[in-house]
Amino acid sequence: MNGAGPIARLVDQFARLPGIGPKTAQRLAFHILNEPPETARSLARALVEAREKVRRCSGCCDLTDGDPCAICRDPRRNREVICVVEQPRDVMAVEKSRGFRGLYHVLHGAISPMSGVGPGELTIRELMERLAKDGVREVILATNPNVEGDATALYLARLIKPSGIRVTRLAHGLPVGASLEYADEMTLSKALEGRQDLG
Amino acid sequence: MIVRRLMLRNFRNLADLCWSPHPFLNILSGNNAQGKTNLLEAIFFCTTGRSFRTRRDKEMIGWAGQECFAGAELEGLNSSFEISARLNANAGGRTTFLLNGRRQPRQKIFRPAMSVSFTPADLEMVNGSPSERRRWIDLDLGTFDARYQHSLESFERVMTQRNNLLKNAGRQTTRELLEPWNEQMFLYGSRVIEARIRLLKLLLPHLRKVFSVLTSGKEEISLKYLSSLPLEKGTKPEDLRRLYEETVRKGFVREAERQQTLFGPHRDDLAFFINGEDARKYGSRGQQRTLVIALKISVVKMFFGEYGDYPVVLLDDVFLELDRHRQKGLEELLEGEAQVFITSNRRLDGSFGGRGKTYTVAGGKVIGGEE
Ligand SMILES: Nc1ncnc2c1ncn2[C@@H]1O[C@H](COP(=O)(O)OP(=O)(O)O)[C@@H](O)[C@H]1O
Ligand SMILES: [Mg+2]
Ligand SMILES: [Zn+2]
Repeated sequence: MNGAGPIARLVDQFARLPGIGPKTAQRLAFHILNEPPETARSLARALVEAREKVRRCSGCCDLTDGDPCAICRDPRRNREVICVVEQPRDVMAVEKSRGFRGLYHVLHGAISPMSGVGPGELTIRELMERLAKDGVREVILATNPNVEGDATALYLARLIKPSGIRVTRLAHGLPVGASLEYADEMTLSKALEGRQDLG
Repeated sequence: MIVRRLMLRNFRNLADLCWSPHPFLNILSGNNAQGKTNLLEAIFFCTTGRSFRTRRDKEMIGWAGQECFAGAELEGLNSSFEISARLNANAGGRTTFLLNGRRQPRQKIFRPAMSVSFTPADLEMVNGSPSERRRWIDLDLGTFDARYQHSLESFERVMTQRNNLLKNAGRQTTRELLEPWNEQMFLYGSRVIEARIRLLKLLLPHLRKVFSVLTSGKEEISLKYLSSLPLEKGTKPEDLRRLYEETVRKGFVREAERQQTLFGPHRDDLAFFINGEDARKYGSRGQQRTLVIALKISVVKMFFGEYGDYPVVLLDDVFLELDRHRQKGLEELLEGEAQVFITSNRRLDGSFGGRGKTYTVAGGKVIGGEE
């Protein structure tokens, strides 16, 4: 196969996506090429449209196509409690459990020196700005229960503590080493009930 | 614990296998590179969730395909169950475990681990590097503590992150950045050390007895845990964490200079003393090997002492030449009710009292089964 041709370029683009190795990338590329051209066109349109319309909410930093996002806009939500999560998909997981009526803050990652992610790479500055003005009384740290998530929670707890805002950590019900994404709804609402004060 | 049936698909060179082993002694003979060790590895994997050869599950997937299945029907003291695993070679593919057909996290299925392996690499344990002795503790003793594996893995992960931080920032590493890693390092590191010492204490009486039997009462064994933390005789488990913290506070300049984590269970070692003399420095080769055999057998005895059941015993090529000590060791093992698997590239002679079968492994298949 020509190393620089359009097929190779397509395979290469797929292979850059997370969780996709060279073999899967090849399979995806040939799948697209065997479908009618319209399939490729609508995929490309969906990609570009999503990328252009979706941005970070100016409140919670979650991905949204309207700013502020639906949750930040919702007048029935409790504005005194903020649940801090790593990823947008974690917001969905907590929402599905229906155990939480407050607002969110999405960090877009967790502290991980080996991946070059420090506090500056996360939306921590945005979080601190919110806490400084919004009358928040409690922050629930719902980062993943692994060492990076715990390190992030410990870092945030230290940072927030002087402000006098209550800081809690999701503590129970989640299996050790599991991430929020895989938690089932029952364990998640139990975890929300069993949160513990940090620090 | 007894393996009633083993089912493998594309596990290394074992393409497709369904085998019901003998409940007591299984002798697996055959030429080299036929799959004998692979077979033991599969049994170990189905009973511990890990390999004794590699830390990368994907290595066990046969080259012929992208996926691998390993399953075992097991019989414990008063229950039978089936553990199986699916391995996937794709990028991002991970190993999933099933207990009686239901997917479960690894640490829910394997507690405590249900088998003990003994391979030629173990024979170098006493005179080898400290990492080999730590590996023995982690693999053989760690299984007696449900939290051990998790603490160890978390500790190692924290250490990798902390080392990266030290490497990137060196002396400029700020307290705020280091603190979240330190706190977890103290927590998991002291748990690992505490568990190791506790488990070694549990093992010691068994080891004393077995070693005495193997040496006909002529030699006495003792051991000491050598820590990178200044442990003293009276150090209590609850003091460990504070001690760890103090040690790191005092040694941080050195850590920042060397840009790596210098204190913790990853730096610790174990010393054995035969009649009061350091076995690593002064023991003869024969004594060192006898000691390794005694260590392995005492783990089996400890398992029985704790759970009232025997682990599955996997012996890879280690009882080939039966010198006097090993002969005794084997008798010691067979005296119990453990299910034993022994591999050999020649026919093992000797009568096993009709309590076993001899199989031939050839080209990834198990053939025969003579009484
Ligand atoms: N992932 C794998 N896929 C297929 N074959 C493998 C794999 N890993 C090892 N092998 C093969 O298995 C054979 C070794 O089997 P092993 O059990 O170690 O032999 P022995 O019978 O001497 O103990 C070798 O032929 C090796 O090439
Ligand atoms: Mg072998
Ligand atoms: Zn929002």
